Amino acid sequence: MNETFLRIDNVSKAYDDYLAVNQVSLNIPKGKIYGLLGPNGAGKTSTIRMITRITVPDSGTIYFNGEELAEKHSRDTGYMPEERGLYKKMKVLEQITYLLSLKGLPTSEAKAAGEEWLERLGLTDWSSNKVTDLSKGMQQKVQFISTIAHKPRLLILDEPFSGLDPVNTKLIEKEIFRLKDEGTTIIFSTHRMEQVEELCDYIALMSQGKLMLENEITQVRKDFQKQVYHISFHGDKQHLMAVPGLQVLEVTDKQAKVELSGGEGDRNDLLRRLADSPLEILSFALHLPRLNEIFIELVGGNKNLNRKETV
Amino acid sequence: MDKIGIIFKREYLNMVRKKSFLLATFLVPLGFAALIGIQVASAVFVEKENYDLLIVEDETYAVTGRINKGDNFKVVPIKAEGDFVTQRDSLLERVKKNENEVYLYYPETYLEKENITATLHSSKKLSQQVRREVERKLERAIKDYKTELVGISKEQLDKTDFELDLQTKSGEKENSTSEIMALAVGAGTAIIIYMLIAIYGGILMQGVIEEKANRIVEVIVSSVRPFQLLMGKTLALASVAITQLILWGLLSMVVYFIMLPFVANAGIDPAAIQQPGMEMSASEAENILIDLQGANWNVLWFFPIYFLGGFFLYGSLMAAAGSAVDNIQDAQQFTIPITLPLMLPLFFYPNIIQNPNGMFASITSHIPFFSPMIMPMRIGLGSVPWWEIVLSIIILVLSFLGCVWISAKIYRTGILMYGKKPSFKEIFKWLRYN
Repeated sequence: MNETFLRIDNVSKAYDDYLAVNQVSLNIPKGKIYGLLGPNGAGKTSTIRMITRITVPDSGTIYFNGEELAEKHSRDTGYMPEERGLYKKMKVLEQITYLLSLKGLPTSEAKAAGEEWLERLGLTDWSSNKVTDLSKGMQQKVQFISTIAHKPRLLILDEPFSGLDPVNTKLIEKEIFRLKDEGTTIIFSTHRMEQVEELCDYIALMSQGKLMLENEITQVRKDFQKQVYHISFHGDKQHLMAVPGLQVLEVTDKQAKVELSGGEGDRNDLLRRLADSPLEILSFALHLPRLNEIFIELVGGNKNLNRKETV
Repeated sequence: MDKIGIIFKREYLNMVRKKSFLLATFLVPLGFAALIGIQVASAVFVEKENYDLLIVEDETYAVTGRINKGDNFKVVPIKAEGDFVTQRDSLLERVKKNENEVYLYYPETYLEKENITATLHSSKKLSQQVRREVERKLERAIKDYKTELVGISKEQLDKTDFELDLQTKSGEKENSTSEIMALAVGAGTAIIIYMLIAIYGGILMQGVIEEKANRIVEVIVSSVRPFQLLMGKTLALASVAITQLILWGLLSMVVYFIMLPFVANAGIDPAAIQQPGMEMSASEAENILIDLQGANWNVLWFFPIYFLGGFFLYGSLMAAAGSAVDNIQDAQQFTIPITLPLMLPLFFYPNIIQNPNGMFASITSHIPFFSPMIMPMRIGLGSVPWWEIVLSIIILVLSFLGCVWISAKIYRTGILMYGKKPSFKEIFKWLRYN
């Protein structure tokens, strides 16, 4: 495992009788993109709010680069919450400068950083316009700039692509990768699995306030690898059903998804039995599990997905 | 502290640059000008009164005999008869019965004295215009008498100046001009404090709701403590209110000095605004302005203390109310219990004016929710024992610290809550959150 940048050690947080975060420990490696996943109400936002010191844990400790999390680390943290926005009537550059100076940047530095990033994202001409004059996409760029222009060492993005059009999604994705290359540790929270597979090096899965799993994404896939195969064929699908030692999961007239009942060693045996059947086999491939499936397997389907998110 | 400063600066500049702020700042002094204008105009077009001024032809008649017919009275000399005291008493009896008679009691010639007192006796309360006209004529008479008798030049006379105090006594209760001005200044201060707390408390609440609705608040509280944000905003609005007040004061003074010559000019040219049945008395208008100068302005020293105390108390509660809701409509449920105690003192005013040092006034001016609106009024009205003022300030300060503490706890949870409007019970639970 890589060097840990942010360590969450046995942290709990309760609101009234509701345990939002239940003895969670996370190790977020330096310079990687770390996906924090889970359905609504899993405790993702509650965990993030403790990392950003908006709230404090009831028990447990958070370590920032080896030190106990403190006020001064706000300077090194960039946070883009899911519920985000800007002062509508404030000018673009003024706004970025203000938000950066609240992070602890001197005004002149904040302004320079803001100008540099506006230039990079092609918004220089809009510097002295009010936020209301900007299109939604431009506003989101401004939001992103005010999150990252102070060069944080830890960047926390909660559903960063929600409401973004495809062009801006690509653009922000590119910038996220660039920040990662520069050594920024990035926590990425979402419930959209396809983005996780694209972006993340590590994932942690939370459900009902508890940590369900935490690992490198490639390892997770391996761990959840099953004896499931995709078969395409010619012939009557009834013959497929008749093959012994085989459980058909899904089937159409040309394709099927099957699971081998028994151990790994039986794969060749399966091929042999398929060859013996009256079917003409066109292809035979191992099924790689999608994160979504792992996710559903671990949190038990949709039954908890509608739990209301509190705080 | 540094971050409170950054927030303070943004909030302050944001407010004072607003059109509504500039508009209010310049319109109020114009309103003040209009008010003086109306007062002056109403004083200019007063109906003429018609009294008989009784003056006894005793040894002081050398002075009082110089008073001639005025706009509101004609002189009726009375022969000096018998004992001085008996005659005075009979004249006092006489004016009590005759509504149109006024008796000028001028006890000696006061040749060498600086402070001269005389009294006007009447059955009904005399209007200021009558009192002032007699006062002016009597003053003239004393000056002329001194000049003639002592043979000093007018120039020297100015140096040996005197103060004439012409009192009025009637069967009715008398309010001296200074009492009226004290009431005006005291009540004015209290009402301005009430208005500023209500207006700026509302603006503070609106700002909190706006930040929540804009969804910017979570971005900000990831950089600063919610308490710092709350304090920065509250201090900024308190300063904006005081800025506005100072500007009002300065602009009103400008208006006042611009208007002064017009008022004085009106006095020089009485023919200019003659109307049938009405008589000009321009010096009356001048006197109103002079009264403003002479009022007891000491109460202004206490203004910042009671305003700030009240604003922190009510403002922090309004901010907490704003943090609990998503939009201004939902806020009403929480603002009513806050604005009620703010308004209540306005209904206590009649009682407090009647008896500014009574039990009721004393108690209410120590209750922190009322004291900002009541104590300045009492101070304006007269002498409040110093320890009462100190005690009420201590109670107010402790209370606003408590309110800020509770509000900050509600605020830091409220700003992150979206969706359904919380109940009071839920808000009480927030106090226990970390």
